[in-house]
Parts: sequence; C-alpha cells; structure tokens
Amino acid sequence: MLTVAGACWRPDGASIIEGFDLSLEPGRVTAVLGPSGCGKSSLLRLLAGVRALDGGSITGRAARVGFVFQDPALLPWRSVRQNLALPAELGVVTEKGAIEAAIEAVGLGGHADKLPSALSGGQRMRVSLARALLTRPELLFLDEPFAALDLATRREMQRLVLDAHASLGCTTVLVTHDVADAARLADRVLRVDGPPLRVVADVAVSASRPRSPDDVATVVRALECA
Amino acid sequence: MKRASWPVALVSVGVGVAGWWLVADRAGPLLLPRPDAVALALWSERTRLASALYQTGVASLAGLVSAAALGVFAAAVSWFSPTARLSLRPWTVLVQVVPIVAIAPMLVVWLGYGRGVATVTAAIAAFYPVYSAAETGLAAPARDLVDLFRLYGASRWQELFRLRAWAALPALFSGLRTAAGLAVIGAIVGEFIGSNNAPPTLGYTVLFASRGARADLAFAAVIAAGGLALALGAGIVWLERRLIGRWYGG
Ligand SMILES: Nc1ncnc2c1ncn2[C@@H]1O[C@H](COP(=O)(O)OP(=O)(O)OP(=O)(O)O)[C@@H](O)[C@H]1O
Ligand SMILES: [Mg+2]
Repeated sequence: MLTVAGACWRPDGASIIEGFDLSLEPGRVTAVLGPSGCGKSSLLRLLAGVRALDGGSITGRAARVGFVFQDPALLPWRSVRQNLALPAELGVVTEKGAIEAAIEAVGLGGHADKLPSALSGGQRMRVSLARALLTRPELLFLDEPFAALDLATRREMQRLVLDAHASLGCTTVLVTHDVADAARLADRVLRVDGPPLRVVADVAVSASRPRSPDDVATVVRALECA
Repeated sequence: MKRASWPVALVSVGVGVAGWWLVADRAGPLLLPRPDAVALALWSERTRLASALYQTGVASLAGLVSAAALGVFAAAVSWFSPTARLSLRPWTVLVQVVPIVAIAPMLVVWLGYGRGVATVTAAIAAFYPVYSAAETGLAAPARDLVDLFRLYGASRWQELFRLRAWAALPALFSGLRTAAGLAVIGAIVGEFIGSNNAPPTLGYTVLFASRGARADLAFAAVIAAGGLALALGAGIVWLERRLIGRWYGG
C-alpha cells in the first residue's frame, strides 16, 4: 500500500501541496482528474520520489518505478534503442533482450535506430511508455500520456497500458484531463483541485475491463455528479 | 548563409567597396587607400602577410582552445558546487571586464615578446562567452529529463556526462562562435604590445604599417584578420554540424 500522510511541497515558498493524504491499494489503476496547474504532476513527482517532501511522509514505495512524463522526456541525441538502454546504463536492472522486446511490444520495430526527432508525437510517447515498462515496474506513473494523440493511437496506447498493467500487476496512477479515459481505464477516479492540491471527489469503479460504452457512460455520469 | 541570401550580401559588399573607392579617391592614399591599392598590397606582401596570418592564427586558435577548456571546466565545477560557483564569480567577472590592453604590458614582462602574450590575451578575450554559455547550457535540460535521471537513481556524474554535457552542446557552440571572433581580437591586441617583427604578426603589421604611412598594408592586414575570424567561425560551425547537427535543430 502506497500511503501519503500529511504531505507538503512548497517550491519557492508556494504551497502546491499542503497536508495531503492518500492511500493507493496495490495493483489498482487510479486516475487523477483535475484542472491545469492544480498540482497533479507535482503529486506524481512526489509519489515517485524524484522530489523531496517539505513535510509529511510517503510510505510503501516500490523498488521499481516506471514514469511516463508529460512530455516524452527522450534524450534527443540518442536513438530509440539507445534511449531504452538508459535505465540499464544508470544501474537499473533490466532483463536480457528486454529492450528489443519492449520495442516490439509498442510496435516500433522498424524505428529502433531513429532519433526522436524523426518520430511522430505518438511514436515518441510509445518509446516513453516502452522505457517505463522495461524495468517491470511495481509502481507505474503516467502523466497525461494520451493528451497529444489522435483517437486511434490513443486507443492503441491505452490497450498497451492495460496489457502491461494486467501482466505486471503494477499499482498505476494515471493523470488525465479526459473524463472518458478515466472512466475507461481506472478502478478509482480522483477528481482534484488546487493548488494546494485537494481531493474533490473519490469514485470507485467496479465494472471489469474492457468496459463497454454503456459502462463508460455510467461512470462518466457518476463522475460528473460527484 | 542560406543560398537565397548570398546575392544580397554580394551586392551589399559591392556597394560598400564602390563607396570606399569614391571616398578613397578624394581622401588620398595616406588617409584611406583605394581598394585596388589594398588588393595590390595583399599580393605584393603575401609572404609577410601569410607568415603573420599563421602566427596570429596559431595564437587565436590556441587561445580559443584554452578558453574553451577552462570555460567548460569552470562551468562544470560551478554546476557541481554552488560554493565553487560563488567563489568563481568575482574572477570570471574580472576576466570579463579587465582591459586586455592594460594587462598586456605585464604579460610581456612575464612571458617576453612572442606568441605567448597573444595566446593569453586571446584566451582572456574568449573565456567569458564560453564559460557563460557552458553554464547556461548545463542548466538547459528540461525538468522532466532531470527527473527521469533521478527516477533511475543516477549519480551526479552520470547526470553530468549523460545528460547535461550533451544538452549543453547547442548553447556551448553558440558561445564558441562569439568567442572565436573575440579570440582574434584578443590576439591582435596582444600583438600590438607583445610582438615584434620576428616573426611578423597581424597585430604588429597593422601597427607598423600605420606608423610607416602604409595604410594599404594596414588594411591588407585587417582584411587578413577578418578572414581569420571568419575561418575560425566557419570551423566551429562545421564542428557543430558534425557533432550535434544530427539531433539539434534538424
Ligand atoms: N519546481 C517548481 N517550482 C515552483 N513551482 C512549481 C514547480 N513545479 C510546479 N510548480 C507550480 O505548481 C503548480 C502545479 O504544477 P503541476 O505541474 O503539478 O500542475 P498540473 O496539475 O500537472 O498541471 P497541467 O495539467 O497543466 O500539467 C503550478 O502552479 C506550477 O507553476
Ligand atoms: Mg502536469
């Protein structure tokens, strides 16, 4: 269980996160919905441990953490394959052949030696997802990974995320602006506002995945009433 | 320069030379030599100018390379330690504001006449733009990239060599382009004071030609110096294309 208790984060004195509490059950997908600038990305950074808290605590973090950043965060001077080699170079243990498998899994087989600048936005996002999944994370954070994608690519990426979640059983937190995406993918949806960040609504979704349009519509309605 | 822009540049140079010619005709050769006289001087003094160009070129290049090495090193140290950055600040500012003409005589006392003085003044002139560009460049990576490295538990060294050093290259090269021109200026100022006719240098040639009423030769040396600065700049652009053109701006 990933537990946040009284977390505070005040970069340059601004209260972005103040006394924030949250518990995430293992193996669940939690979607975080909220307006721009309310502190969603900040929350993910704190959960992933890439930023230090100014107060409170976060317990139950896993050893292996995957993160898909809001922009794909690829090194522009490295090819797709070299970008995927980065975790291993930095000492994160990955399995032999994992890179090639990850490239295949996200459907970039013919693009392994291309530079990020030669890829489309959707392809870059896939590389970013492949890198996050490469280390077989127990905790997976996705910061608006579908925001810049067309509908088909979006569905394709969502399928990849759900497949990975199913095979890894990772605790997943997905930030999104799209209520329907949240309703389609999550076991639990948090509607947040801020700053300072606060939970406005906390909705559990029980329908099993993949969800029918009716299921999704029901959840969307529940979210909009909440 | 883009292909479409060079005819305009050519016309502009042509107009400039024509204007120069007209003014020079009225001013007389002692005040302003005519372009044809300068061209003649470029040819008839070619041995001297070539040897001077070589001397000044070596000093400029050596100064630029030392400035680049020192500037990058100082910027890396500044990134590692805020205390180092604060301690370096007065010195980098000093190097930036010190008038080279004022310290060149001291350099002559320490180093004697010769290429050493010009190399040092070239390095002093070129240091600050390189240092400042490298410092900016090291801070360039997007927040998400830095967070990615933190996520994987990268050490400071790994962050420096696998992320920041690369991300700094575009800014560094633009600093180097500025520094190349300044290195030539620095070398020539150093030569005004720290060189004599054995071997000839561009700085000394300008000085001695002006004093000896050889405005044509002085102008020829100035043109050679301009060519040197252009060549150094072009060399840096070439290096930049080779090293980062593949992924930056393409
Ligand atoms: N390192 C930082 N230093 C200072 N302020 C920051 C920092 N990081 C984020 N902020 C501020 O915190 C607030 C929340 O930012 P955050 O990126 O978490 O928002 P967000 O909810 O992810 O927004 P978006 O949907 O636009 O991505 C913003 O006002 C931002 O300016
Ligand atoms: Mg965000």
